[in-house]
Amino acid sequence: METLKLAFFCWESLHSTFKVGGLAPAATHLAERLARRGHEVHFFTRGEGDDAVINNVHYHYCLPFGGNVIEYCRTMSNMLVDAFRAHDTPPFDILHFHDWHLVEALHTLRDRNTVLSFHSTEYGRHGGNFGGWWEFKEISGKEWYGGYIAKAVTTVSNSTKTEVMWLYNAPEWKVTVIPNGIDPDAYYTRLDPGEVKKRYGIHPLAPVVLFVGRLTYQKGPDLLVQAIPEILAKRWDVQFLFAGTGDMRGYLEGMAHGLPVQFLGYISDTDHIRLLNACDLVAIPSRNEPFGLVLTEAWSAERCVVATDVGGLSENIDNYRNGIKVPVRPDSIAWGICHLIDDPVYMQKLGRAGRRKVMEKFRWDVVTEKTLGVYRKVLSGGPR
Amino acid sequence: MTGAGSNPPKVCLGFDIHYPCYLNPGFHPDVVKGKRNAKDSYFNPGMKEDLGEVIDRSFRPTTELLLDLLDGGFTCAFAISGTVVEHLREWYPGMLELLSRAATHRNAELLAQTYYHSVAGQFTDLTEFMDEVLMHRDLMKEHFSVAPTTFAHTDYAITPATAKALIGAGIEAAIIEGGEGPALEKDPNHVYTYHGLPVLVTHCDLSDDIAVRFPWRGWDKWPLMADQYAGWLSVSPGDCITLFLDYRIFGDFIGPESGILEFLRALPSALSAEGIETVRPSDAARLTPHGDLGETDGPGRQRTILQQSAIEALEEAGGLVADPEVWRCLLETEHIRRMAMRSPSCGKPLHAVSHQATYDYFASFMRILSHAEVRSAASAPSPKAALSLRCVPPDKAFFFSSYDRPAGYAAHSLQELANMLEFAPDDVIRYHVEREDFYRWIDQVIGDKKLAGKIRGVSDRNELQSTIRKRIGKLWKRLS
Repeated sequence: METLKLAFFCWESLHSTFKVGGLAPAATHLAERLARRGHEVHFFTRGEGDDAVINNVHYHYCLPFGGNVIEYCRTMSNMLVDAFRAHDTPPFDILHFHDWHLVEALHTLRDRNTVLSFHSTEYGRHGGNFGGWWEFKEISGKEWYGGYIAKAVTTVSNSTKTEVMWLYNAPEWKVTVIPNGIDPDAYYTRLDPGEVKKRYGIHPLAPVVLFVGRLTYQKGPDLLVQAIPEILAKRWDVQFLFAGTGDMRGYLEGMAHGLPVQFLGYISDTDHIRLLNACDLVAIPSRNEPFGLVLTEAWSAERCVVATDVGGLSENIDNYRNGIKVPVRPDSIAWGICHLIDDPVYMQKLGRAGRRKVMEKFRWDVVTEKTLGVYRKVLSGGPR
Repeated sequence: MTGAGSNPPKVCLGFDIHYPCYLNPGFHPDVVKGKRNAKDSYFNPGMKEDLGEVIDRSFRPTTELLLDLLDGGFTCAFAISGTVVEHLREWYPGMLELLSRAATHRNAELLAQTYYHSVAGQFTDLTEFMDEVLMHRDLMKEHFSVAPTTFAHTDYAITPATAKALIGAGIEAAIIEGGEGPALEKDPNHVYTYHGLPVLVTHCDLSDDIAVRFPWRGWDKWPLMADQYAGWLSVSPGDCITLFLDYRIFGDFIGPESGILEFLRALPSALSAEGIETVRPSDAARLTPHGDLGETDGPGRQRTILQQSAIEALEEAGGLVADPEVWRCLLETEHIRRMAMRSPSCGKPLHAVSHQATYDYFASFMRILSHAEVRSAASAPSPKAALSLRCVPPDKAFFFSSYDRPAGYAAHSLQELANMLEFAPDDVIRYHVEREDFYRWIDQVIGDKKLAGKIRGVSDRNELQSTIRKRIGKLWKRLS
């Protein structure tokens, strides 16, 4: 395959001042992997400072403004289209958009070879609920329209694919499932878990349950906090760490008063990796999870997971083989954690099985190849 | 799976013959007030009767059965602990006689062990471990005229230190557990070397088919028949399957009504029908090693907080308890095993209890250990120093806490307090300093007025820690 000139449109990246959630690493790493294969990749995103080349990816930044998120994304779209046009000679082969934020740019450039990736849907971001407020409708509308005009659509899991097909009437042939990739070795490190636990004031031998993610309704941290008393009734020495921040933090802190819980807020990547490798179990209590990067991260560190039976988690976890899936209820989450927490050997076995699955299915090599397959199809005039 | 026509593996079967000194759960210091000898109150007072029952239910019928099988050409190994030999010699010499016939049978091998079936191998200082290995060897020589060379290392994971110590003691091979430690991810049916020591790895699943699942009616393989089991063994890939079973499984933990003894009786013929040969561990260890085990990759089975506190307290107690007999009975692995909610079975009966049960066991254990230390202090070179160094039971322990929640751990001795100061969070330390908790605990519970005075008002964690550590060093010097 000849080398392609690719444009990525995404409102966040690892190399800009804005980082919100799992979207940034997913898009950035994909761009870097494509660049590593010799393709010319331009990444149009928000950020301060001048354009830069980082890891062979050309970053083009803009600083949008606006009174609300819709207006903000509109100015961002306009700015990035201008930036795009400035670099469009020779013309880009593929324009790859991530999520709804830049659908207006997609609209302007709709005659080109466009791909839209759904990392989640607005419905999913609200824990599988419809919202009556205007932003919800506006964003859902953009998601529908983006899926309608893009030449190809990708989703991170089968459940998101179904969601997109159901919510936005996207035709089946247009949608390809491409999971999020991961670099398993970046998340695995050998360390003494006891030493890490000590740094958080935890006894080196206390079992630690880790939650990583935004503290928002979608991710279900409240379900885990509600599960804690029941877990403590079975075993008293379990400690809980919540890494990440979000609009529910104050509420959760109130709820967790007097419980063995620490809210760590935003943590650095190094701390994240250390915690992953030091904890005993990773809990993923999401109400809706398009893919669940936390899952592949935990698996990369050979940690076992207790996750809710939703979306990408439901699809990727083989129950009792590399994790435990439970219904979206605090008592079920408690059951899952209690089932594992006094059996370190069993937990280790599940964690290792998880890592094997990551090596097989979620390495970037596998994911990049799949993405290039979609590009090829678009370039050859299909799917149409 | 081996294909048809390839050789079935050999089988190496070992039995662990031991009867632990169970604690007396009702022990309370008041019970022994004024009594000279507290030892009988520490441990199960009905030990003689209980052991008698176990002999009737399990040891005697199983040994008689095995003697028949051994005569018929079956091969197996016995690990007999020093404590059980002592008890039998004192109370049931007939049983000891029977046992020595089995142990010295030409088709049997006698295994080495720690004398007290103890956790001493988990200490940082392996002196006690070595002593027990040698004591056990002397006892075996005295009673059975055999010096065993294969060591049963199955109650906790083997470490480079214990492997080295065993080689130093002239041990030629060891049986280790497949469910934990360095052998965890390895295929168990091979001989490996670990730091130069040939090791046989027990096959946990196949051991537990007998030890755990045999009587379970909900099991889809129930009732397990000897020929079916032999069939499983014959297709288990590898050179040699090692099974190491608690002797009490036969008739005691699993009652005779379940047919466990008939199963054992039928096993040798079922094995030979499958073409499986039974071998002694020392012969199995001579098979070509399948590589080196290397170090554990990852945490493996970790101790619980309670187990850690108990093991640390036990190691310290070596220098504080005057009666070595009491201390050594407390070293028993069974005590530590009961301080976890779930312990690996791997040929031992299933252990799954509530957190409350582990805590209660830990509390009785610490009450006894602490009492033994207090009793011994009177005869120590410096009674005051010995008292300051002693451990205390949980009801007197120092529970770390912040103003709104417990930190989740407690110190049971000065040494443990100093260790925990290393990682207790700042708000926890501030809280206790403000309330003068450290001062009051050391002053009123531990009773070390001098140290209490020194740390009063000290709010810096490092200073607290170094002051306590310095004091501990001084106190030990006074005792030596």
